[in-house]
This record gives sequence, structure tokens and C-alpha cells, in this order.
Amino acid sequence: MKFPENDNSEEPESQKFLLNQGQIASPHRCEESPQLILQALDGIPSPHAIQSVREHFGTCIQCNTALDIEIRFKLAMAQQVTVKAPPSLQLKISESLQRIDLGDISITDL
Amino acid sequence: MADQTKFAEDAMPYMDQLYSHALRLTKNPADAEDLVQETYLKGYKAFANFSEGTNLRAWLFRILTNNFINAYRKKQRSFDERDLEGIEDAYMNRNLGSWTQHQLSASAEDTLFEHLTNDEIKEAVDSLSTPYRQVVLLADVQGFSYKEIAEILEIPHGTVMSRLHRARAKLQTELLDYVTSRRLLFEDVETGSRGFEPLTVGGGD
Repeated sequence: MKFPENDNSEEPESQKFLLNQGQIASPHRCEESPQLILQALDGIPSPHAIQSVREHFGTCIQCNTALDIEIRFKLAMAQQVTVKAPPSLQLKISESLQRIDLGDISITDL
Repeated sequence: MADQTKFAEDAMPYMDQLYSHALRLTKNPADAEDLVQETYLKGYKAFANFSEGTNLRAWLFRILTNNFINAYRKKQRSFDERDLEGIEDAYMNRNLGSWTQHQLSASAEDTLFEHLTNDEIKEAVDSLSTPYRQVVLLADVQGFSYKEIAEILEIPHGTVMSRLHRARAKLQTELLDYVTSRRLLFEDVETGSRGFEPLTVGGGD
């Protein structure tokens, strides 16, 4: 299986869809907002995709608020601290890999 | 095909991210260490099959996820995907328009996240069942795209979106409950809308 090269190096598919504004159904229908908001927040959100959705929502307060809540939530989650791996784990893994390289452990044993 | 001798050099920089994710999945440092170690050893073994230049980070997260599912699925009753079948695919349609079910006002929304601590957000995420926790962590903490998450978890793209939508709705409910229980939020019983009490500095009893 192949993963896309360089994750997040470009807009995810969902955001490309949004950036082509002609593809967002017009006029705005509130029931379609959850789908549009999810697409706008795919991967690392692009300001252009968010702006595109915001323009589509126009003056609809409910949908704009929903979008803002989702953005705030995603930001809060992104700010969650990465817990560093304990140095002992790094050492343990490095040693295991070295032992495999030296032939102490057979790769078929893994 | 990737050069196996380069595995450590290429893969070790992701250790903190993998450990952090493993810790959030297992909720136990010892299990998280075992999970990460197993991920690296299996990754090393399979590295010859990895296509160089593709997404190593997502590839490692996929191995970790598979290890987690294999090791912990039987242990944790909460990880029962049967509960989700038939629910999540229909969820988006049934819950369209539910984003503002709490009728949180725009001004209250501005204040909501200022009142929440990191521990409260973490606790709310930890309260989600595993399938939902996984998508939230991969999408919002690790920043993977839905396409990558679909590949990591081996589920359809649409399922990623519906799980994420449902997980966020649950989290919003949970987080609103936190601030309500701390009496930071008042509820208007007549309209059902919620708003924040103004913060007072000093004084009071």
C-alpha cells in the first residue's frame, strides 16, 4: 500500500473540492453544513477552504457558529502536548534494532 | 523498496508522536511502550516492502494501529465495532443540522474554549470509545487527512467522516457539561440557550 508522499504537503481532496467553489451547491442549505465543515477541516485546514465555506454560509449565523466551534475545537486539540517517549524506550528499541543488525535476533523471530 | 539499514534513521524521529498516540489509545504507559516497541520491530521487519518516498509516518501509524487492535481488541469490551454498524453511516443524515444543538451563542462559543483546561479536553477525548477516539486523535491531534486515516484504519473514507462528526458532537456535549458543572455556563430554561456567566475578579463568597 502506498501513502501519499509528504503528508499534508498539499490540500487534501476534500479541500480541493471546496476550493472549486462552483461545486458547493448553491444556495446555502443548513442541512449540508456538517459535510462542508468536515471537508473544510480535512487534515491541516486551509484558510482558503474555510473562507470558501464561510462565504457560502453567508449570513447564516447558526452555520457560521457551528464552523467557528469546530475550528476552535480543532485548534484546541492540535495544541494538545505530545508526550515524549521515555529515553529508556528509545534505548530499548535502538538496542533491539542493533541486535537484529548484528544477527543476535533473527528477523523471523519478530 | 526501502533500504532496511536506513530504517532507524528514518523512523526514529516519529517515536514521540507514536508514543503519545499509543498512550492516548492504551491509557497506560507500560502498554504504550510495548505497543511502540512492537511497532518499530514490525516496521523494521516490513521496511523492505515500504515504498521509499511515500508517507513513512502514516505507514508507522498504520502498523501501530493494527498492533493495538490485535493486542487490545479482545481485552477492551468498549472496542466493539458492532455497536457502530448501521449507526455511523446513517448518522450524518440523521444528525444534519445538529451542530448547534446546544444553542450555544456566538459569544459563548468564543468563551467556551478559554474556560477549558487541557486536562478536561484530554479527559473528554479519553471518554470516547476506541473507534471514535482513534479518528479524533489521528485527525485533530496528529493532523492526518481523512484519506490517510482511512488507509491507517482500513475503513472507508465516508466512515472516517461520520465517526469524526459523531465524535466531535459527543465531545462538544461533554465539554459543555464540564463548563456547566463548574457553573461557568448558565442555561436559560425558557429558551434552552446557554451563555457564560461573566467572570468575577476577587470578592464574592
